[in-house]
Amino acid sequence: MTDTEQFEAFMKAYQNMVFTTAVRLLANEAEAEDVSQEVFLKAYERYAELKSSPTVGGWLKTVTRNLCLNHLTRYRARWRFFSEMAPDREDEDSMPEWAAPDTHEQQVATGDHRQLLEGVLQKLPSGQRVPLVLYHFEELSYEEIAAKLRVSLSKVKTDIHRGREALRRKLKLKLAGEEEWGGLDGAESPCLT
Amino acid sequence: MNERYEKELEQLIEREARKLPELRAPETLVHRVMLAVHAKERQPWWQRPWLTWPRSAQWVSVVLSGATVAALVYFGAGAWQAAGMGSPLGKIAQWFSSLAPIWEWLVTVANAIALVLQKGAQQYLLIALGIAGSMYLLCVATGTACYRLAYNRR
Repeated sequence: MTDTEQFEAFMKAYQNMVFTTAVRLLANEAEAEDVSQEVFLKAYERYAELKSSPTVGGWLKTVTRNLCLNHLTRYRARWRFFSEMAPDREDEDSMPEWAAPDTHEQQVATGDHRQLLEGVLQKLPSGQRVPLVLYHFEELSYEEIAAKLRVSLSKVKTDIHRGREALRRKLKLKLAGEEEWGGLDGAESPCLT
Repeated sequence: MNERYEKELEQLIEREARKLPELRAPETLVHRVMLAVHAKERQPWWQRPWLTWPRSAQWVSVVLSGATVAALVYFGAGAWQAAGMGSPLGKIAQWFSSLAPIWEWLVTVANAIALVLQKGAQQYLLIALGIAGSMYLLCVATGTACYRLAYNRR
């Protein structure tokens, strides 16, 4: 197997992971594909080191994350003001495709919910979606997120809380002790301290 | 109570996040990357970024660049003196000293403006800033209205 063929196999093994991270951060499949291409071209330049590295997955995730955040800063800053004022879209078109589908029965049982969750996540304003994805999917701490996004710790916590609330409301999720909170469906949550 | 609520909400979203599988990358991604990789491979090494050059070529280029700069400085200074133009450093100092009146003029103008602002023009300055701020907000409001109209927002 030549180096190029090896790299192609390497790419096939990691492309879903890289693309998923990019889509969740950017909420745009075309931009996520562009960023994924950039990530793999960077990986190709360092392939000699990466192919034998046990931390290659982490490296790819970090590069994807950084490129996505750069992309958001560079190309979307000028639209942030308008886009964050705009209300959420209610249309459910252009839902993403799934990797490694389960059996047909499982897919029917869980597919709709997953699709809804992914769709709701992608429709969150970027100010809530990005820190939420970094916390729950990329497993960064609040402090790391604040440092990465160059915002205060309290803003990160507030944005993540709002994102979680939006997900909970739109997915009609119930908390374990829901009754104690007085039935929060559609109501405001207790204020953060 | 709020902390408990927040903790439960965090755990709930965490569970939901864990359920989400990876998305499937588009079929075109591998093809696009491989095309770019092949295009890069076809480039000769000297057209690629310097950091990716072979180590020996990097060393040779550093030595050649250093030697070129040193030769330019040495022979340039020699030629300068041979032409009877004196010391090059003295000439540069002379050029800068000829710019001194312009610098002094700029400092005088800046001081004069500061003095005028301190003495009596503060209220005019505030009025001008107020007008500029109002116009900026008007532009933002118009832009927002146009954006919402164009994209049929509520």
